[in-house]
Amino acid sequence: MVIDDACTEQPAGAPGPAPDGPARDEAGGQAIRVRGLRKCYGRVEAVRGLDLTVRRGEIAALLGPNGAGKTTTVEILEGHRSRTSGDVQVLGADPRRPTREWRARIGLVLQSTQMPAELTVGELVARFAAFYPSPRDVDETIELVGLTAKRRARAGRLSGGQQRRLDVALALVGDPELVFLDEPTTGFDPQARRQAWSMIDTLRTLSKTVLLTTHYLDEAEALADRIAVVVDGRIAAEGTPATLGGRDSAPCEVRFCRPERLDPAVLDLVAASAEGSLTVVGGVVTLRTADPAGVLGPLLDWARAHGTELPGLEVRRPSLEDVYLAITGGLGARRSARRLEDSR
Amino acid sequence: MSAVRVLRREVGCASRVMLRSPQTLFLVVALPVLYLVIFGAIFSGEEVNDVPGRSWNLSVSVIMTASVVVIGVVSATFQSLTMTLAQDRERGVLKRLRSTPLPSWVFFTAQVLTALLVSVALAVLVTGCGALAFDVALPGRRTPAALVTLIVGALSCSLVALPFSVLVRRSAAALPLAFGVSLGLFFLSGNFFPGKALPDPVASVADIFPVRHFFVAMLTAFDPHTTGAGFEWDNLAVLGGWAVAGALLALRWFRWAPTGDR
Ligand SMILES: Nc1ncnc2c1ncn2[C@@H]1O[C@H](COP(=O)(O)OP(=O)(O)O)[C@@H](O)[C@H]1O
Ligand SMILES: [Mg+2]
Repeated sequence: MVIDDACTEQPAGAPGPAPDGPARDEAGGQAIRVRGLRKCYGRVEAVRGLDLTVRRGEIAALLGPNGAGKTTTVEILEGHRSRTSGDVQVLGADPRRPTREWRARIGLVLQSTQMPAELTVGELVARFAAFYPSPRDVDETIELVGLTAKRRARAGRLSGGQQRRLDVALALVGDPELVFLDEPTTGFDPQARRQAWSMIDTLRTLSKTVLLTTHYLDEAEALADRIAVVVDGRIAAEGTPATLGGRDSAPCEVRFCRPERLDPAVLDLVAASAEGSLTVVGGVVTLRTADPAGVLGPLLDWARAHGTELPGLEVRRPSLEDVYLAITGGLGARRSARRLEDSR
Repeated sequence: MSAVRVLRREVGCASRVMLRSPQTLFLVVALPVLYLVIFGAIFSGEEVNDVPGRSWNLSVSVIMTASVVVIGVVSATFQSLTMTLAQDRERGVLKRLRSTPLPSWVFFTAQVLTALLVSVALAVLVTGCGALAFDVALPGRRTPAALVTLIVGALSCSLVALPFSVLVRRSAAALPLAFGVSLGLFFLSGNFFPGKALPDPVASVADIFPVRHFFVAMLTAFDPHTTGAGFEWDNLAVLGGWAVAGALLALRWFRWAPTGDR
């Protein structure tokens, strides 16, 4: 069976090819470079050939449903988990053998973590600051995450959202170049979520490289320069929030209520000239076309000439959600098919 | 920041965690003192004449003071460290610390040093209670022996906790396992039966583990009839052996990540 072959562990310390040495990484401006990453838990292959590049100064998001392999991937990059195979370079080094210098350049928020309940926010941030060669100012970092009022509160007394903010403070206090945030806002109420977003957004002004994971579409859209959709241990699609899944070039829908005077023949003509498809249901005209301007031009000309309007006119591109659902839906179906295959 | 300063700060954090946790305070401070008060009150003024290896009578208060110093130290080291390390590992604290440039030797040294400091404070408290409430004589010229025994015993029980914490797979199992194992060793080592000779099979099982050696050495340091400096080198050697074994096992097996992480 193919899966079993893929799950044979590479001998530890096997000198994997490292085409990008540290120097090339600096030059290429790549903070993270992953090629053909695989990870098996027993017979379950959680990551199955994942490729990813994150440039310096970029905020990238791994977006995907639960169980897609996001945490596994991120923790391999952080040096916390072993991998079955693949090349991984993080800040020019293989995270399989992390050094203290390398760790000093990385900050992270784990998916699930707690701090000793007995220590206060101030004590914990100062404690972590002491680990790093050139830390940020402790008070300033606490201020950055909005916990100044809670400086003397014990970690065990913080709300879930406040604990997460403490985690972020601990990730930043070492002034790292690269920050990993694994589901930084899961379980937040909407307001806490917005606050966390604006905080993560300030990382941009600090010119950090950030790799975050989330299963919230709006979060990826709000924060990330680039989104990689992970489904089933692979990157299913990649792009900016505007271009993901070919969203920018996908057909648009032009919709309006048909004015009585508009002759169906005119509509047919317009649709044909823009290579669109036409449906009219209950007086609502829907034109799907890759060339919305080619449709709108003649229609608006017609309306002006007849001294009328196109009531309820809207032009709609597929939303990020449409694209995301199409990507994950398709692969989800494929996954069920594979499960069936595996279980035989 | 220099390693020594980080170490100092880590000791500060670890001792604050210990002193602010009601659970630890109860197990490490309240319970041993309670043992001393209860046993001391029950056997107040009594003497026993069949203490193993001794031809003279020994006051039960002296035996119980030495015994409770040992109980307190085992609680402050073995029990407390096992619980902290196992719980912190399962809660992801250790994994998070592992992601920082904090050298692991600084982390371990701080944990062990904190346990030693608390042990010394506790020994002083228990000895003081024994002296004030039951007229137990201070070790006097055997103080160096008492201190060395205290440090070697505390070190040994601390280092054994490092690999032992790995055997605790769940947070909730940490307290019962750490407490249960030490309670079992206290019974096995005669800590609760002042002056009674243990049946041979029990004694030979108890002699495998550190607690009985610790107790025997501590009793010699507290016994006013002891001639000489009061060092029980044989028992101290066994404690040292356990310390080395604990450190070596920890180097090989210590886990930072929660059980289930791979
Ligand atoms: N430690 C583990 N042992 C066994 N299976 C695991 C482990 N961690 C994750 N998995 C499995 O790997 C898959 C991916 O999990 P994960 O990386 O946590 O996904 P995500 O973070 O995207 O939700 C899931 O099917 C999960 O059950
Ligand atoms: Mg996850």
